[in-house]
Amino acid sequence: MTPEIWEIIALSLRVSFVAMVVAVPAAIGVAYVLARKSFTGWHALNAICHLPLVMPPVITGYLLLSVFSPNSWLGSALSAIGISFAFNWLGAALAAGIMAFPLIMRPIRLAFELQGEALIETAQTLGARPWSAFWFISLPLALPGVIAGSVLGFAKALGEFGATITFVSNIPGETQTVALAIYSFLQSPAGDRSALILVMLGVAISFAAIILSEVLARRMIRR
Amino acid sequence: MRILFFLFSIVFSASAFAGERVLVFAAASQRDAMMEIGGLYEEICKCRVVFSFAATSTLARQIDAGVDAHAFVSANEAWADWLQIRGRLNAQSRSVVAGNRLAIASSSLTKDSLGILLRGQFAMADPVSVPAGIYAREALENLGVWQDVRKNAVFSENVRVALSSVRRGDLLAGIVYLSDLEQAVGVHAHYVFPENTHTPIHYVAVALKGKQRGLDFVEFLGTEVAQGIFRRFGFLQVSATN
Repeated sequence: MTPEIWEIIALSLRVSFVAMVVAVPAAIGVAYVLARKSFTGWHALNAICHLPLVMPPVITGYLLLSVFSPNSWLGSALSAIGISFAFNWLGAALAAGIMAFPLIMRPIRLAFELQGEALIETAQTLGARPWSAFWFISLPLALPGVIAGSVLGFAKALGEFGATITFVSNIPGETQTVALAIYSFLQSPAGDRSALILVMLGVAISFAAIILSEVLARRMIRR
Repeated sequence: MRILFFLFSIVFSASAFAGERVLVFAAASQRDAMMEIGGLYEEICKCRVVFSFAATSTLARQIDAGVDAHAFVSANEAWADWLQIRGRLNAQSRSVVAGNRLAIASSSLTKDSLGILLRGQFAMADPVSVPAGIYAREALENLGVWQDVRKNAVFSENVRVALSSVRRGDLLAGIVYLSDLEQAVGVHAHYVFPENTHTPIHYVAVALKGKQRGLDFVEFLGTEVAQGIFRRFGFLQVSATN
């Protein structure tokens, strides 16, 4: 096992972790709005949130490249305030988060929808403010959905390929995640072994993540 | 908890590297040769060579979008032209660093050359978007057999996929680069397409505009040491530059 392989794994975990830290709260917010509110533009919001699932990943990557590249309007504006997604690990995290977003959001939305309005209305007649009704009743009840979505999203983020390589390229130590490294190794006949090691490690990480989330979920339910 | 903290510290530790970095965007099909050349060059320049391997088209679009890379190695002349027109390249540094030929790979020992494509399904790269597939279609058209063999063609997204389906025995034959067959086990060049049947297959190296380190690397690719490595990996030497 070479240091390069550990670097690849560490980078992938960092990218997926940061993607989740941003995407999960955002998905909870959007899922709540979609489940509880009806407004003009509901269908538009719903469709936009599902786009990364439907579009070919290469298209998502190309759109990200067009929007956030150093030569673009937004990209240069962001870099003026010191933020850059161009060809660095943050960009990889952005791509992973966007690709994972629909998978995170869907189970959470379902969890909110299944709760029904009655419980919240009861809480509010008992004097709970909307915010605390969300925080102390809706969200805890939706936790299984949040966990299910997070696991799916984490697995997706870890395995994301098309949008990532198109948006931030395949730079070792910066944007080369597990999926991209496997692609690189498979370009040469001598790379089959390294690719296989990475595949097995990727499977092991996903396995561990699912078990960990299951354990966490049970602990939460017991509380 | 302590284990989690330990994992976090690994994941978020910044890796420190010594020396200046040369970032080279190179066609994925050149990986083996490039890795070896890059290793040699690191000793000479006392720098760190980092490659980003992807499809030439992907890399070209990223360079156009403003990536801070130093050099570009394109799998064909067309994408180098495209970037040159857009003013991203140091046009003087442009040179053909290697060439290639197109061949039919197979494990079949028959002597039917081109006829093998009529015997059953064969693999080739996509003839619309992938350079290897574009060359293959061009050659088959010029040989007057494209209309007859296209019904047997199974398109793949790159040459490596085509080659491995032949190696596994899923398909009888596949159209690949001659260089791909250099290290392949269990398959051989059943037929090599004559050079005049398709556009010359040229790998073009070029420095990005204003990148001295890219210029030095492109120059190194032309040296006898680097050319020797290209030859060893089955690429052809192309004498003329530009």
